Amino acid sequence: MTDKNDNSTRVCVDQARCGGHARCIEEAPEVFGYDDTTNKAFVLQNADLEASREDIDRAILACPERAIAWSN
Amino acid sequence: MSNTTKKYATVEFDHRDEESNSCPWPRWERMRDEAPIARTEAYGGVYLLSRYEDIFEALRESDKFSNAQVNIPRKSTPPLPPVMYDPPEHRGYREIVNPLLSPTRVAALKPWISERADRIITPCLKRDSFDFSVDIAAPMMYAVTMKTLGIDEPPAELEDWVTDVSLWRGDYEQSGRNIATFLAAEVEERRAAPGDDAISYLLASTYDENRPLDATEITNMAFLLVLAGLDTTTSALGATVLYLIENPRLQKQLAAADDRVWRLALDEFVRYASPVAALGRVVGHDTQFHGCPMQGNDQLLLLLGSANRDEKEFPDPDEVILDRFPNRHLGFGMGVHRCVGSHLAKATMRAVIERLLTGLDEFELSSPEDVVWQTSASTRGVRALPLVRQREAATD
Repeated sequence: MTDKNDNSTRVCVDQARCGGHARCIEEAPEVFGYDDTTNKAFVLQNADLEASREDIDRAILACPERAIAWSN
Repeated sequence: MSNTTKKYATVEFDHRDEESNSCPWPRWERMRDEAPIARTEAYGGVYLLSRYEDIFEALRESDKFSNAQVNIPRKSTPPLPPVMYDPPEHRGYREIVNPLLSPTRVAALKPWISERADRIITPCLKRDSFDFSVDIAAPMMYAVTMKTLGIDEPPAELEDWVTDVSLWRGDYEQSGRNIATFLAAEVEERRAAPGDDAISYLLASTYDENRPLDATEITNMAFLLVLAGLDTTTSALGATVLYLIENPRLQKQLAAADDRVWRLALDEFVRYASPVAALGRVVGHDTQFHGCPMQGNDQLLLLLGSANRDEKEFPDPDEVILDRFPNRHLGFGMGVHRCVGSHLAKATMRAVIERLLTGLDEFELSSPEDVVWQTSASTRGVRALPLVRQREAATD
């Protein structure tokens, strides 16, 4: 499988900040997953970030912990 | 109200007085405007934060502000893990509890929740009157709690005991001891005959992957699981249904809402209701907050109810906007102590409200004076919400 993403574009969930609200998964289910043991969200491998740009922007706004950000 | 030398304003404030109980919003607004860092002499002296941004910051500073005391005044319970522990001890307990109430676990419970909501609500909608809080919300949350803990046949007295403790009613200290005794016996029963239930799960768990939990830890964790979802979710549901009754237009909007609006609406209801209105913390060591010096063991109250009505974060904060977005409310708290039951709470609220909407439009408040609000310590909510069939609807 080829990497769909430009290497310069990444989205990160700050694991120290994530509180497990799961609001990002509601906004961008194609991009974020949830770890039931740690109760923290993470970015799914092979998520198509470019195609989900608007969903990710909404997930960033939805996060009560301000734990999600685009990064380069 | 201001006092620049002390970096805080002295206010007359009691989060449990009649004004806080029945109409807290104007006073919260004044504090946000004029006294964002305040101190009251009530309860031996308490610092008060009321602005969203300040409370957001304080909730994150678990090293400065300890959870050793989450109720003001202090409640005479043993320290309940995980909520009354600070990092790093907190983490080991929290990791054990996380999977119990995870979105996956909650999703598996949804059919049961819907079935139970149907069984509780359908008979009420056929009557000419019912009390939403007493007849639906409280028994529903009690049933969900017992289901989560795997207590299939709770003794009849247990419901009264947990109500005493969660509402600080009657001899709640004795009721708390009764609950602990009951749970300790349950722990020993499950030790002898494990099942597929929360107590058996706790018995099989290891703290920090290196030791089993002892019987006291398991009893105290189960104690917290029994109490944490009851008056909180009951209150969120009560405030929501009161608002829906007063704004029938919203009932129609919600009945036609798609899945995304429903999800946003549930968080909006929690923001609007803010059942945990005033969350306590104790200052861990001498420190300062925005220039205000605080000493170790000073009490701090985070007015989450006020934060959730802060107009700087939430435009038209006193209005329920079903699809409000963004909505980074603090109704479930945040940071390491974020309400572990938030997913279960929202799933239960949705099942109850969805079922209720099939007949709620035929009902109205029996009288605004009959709505009973009650404040325990951290929580504030509707305890009685009597509804009657509308006269017009009955004759239509």
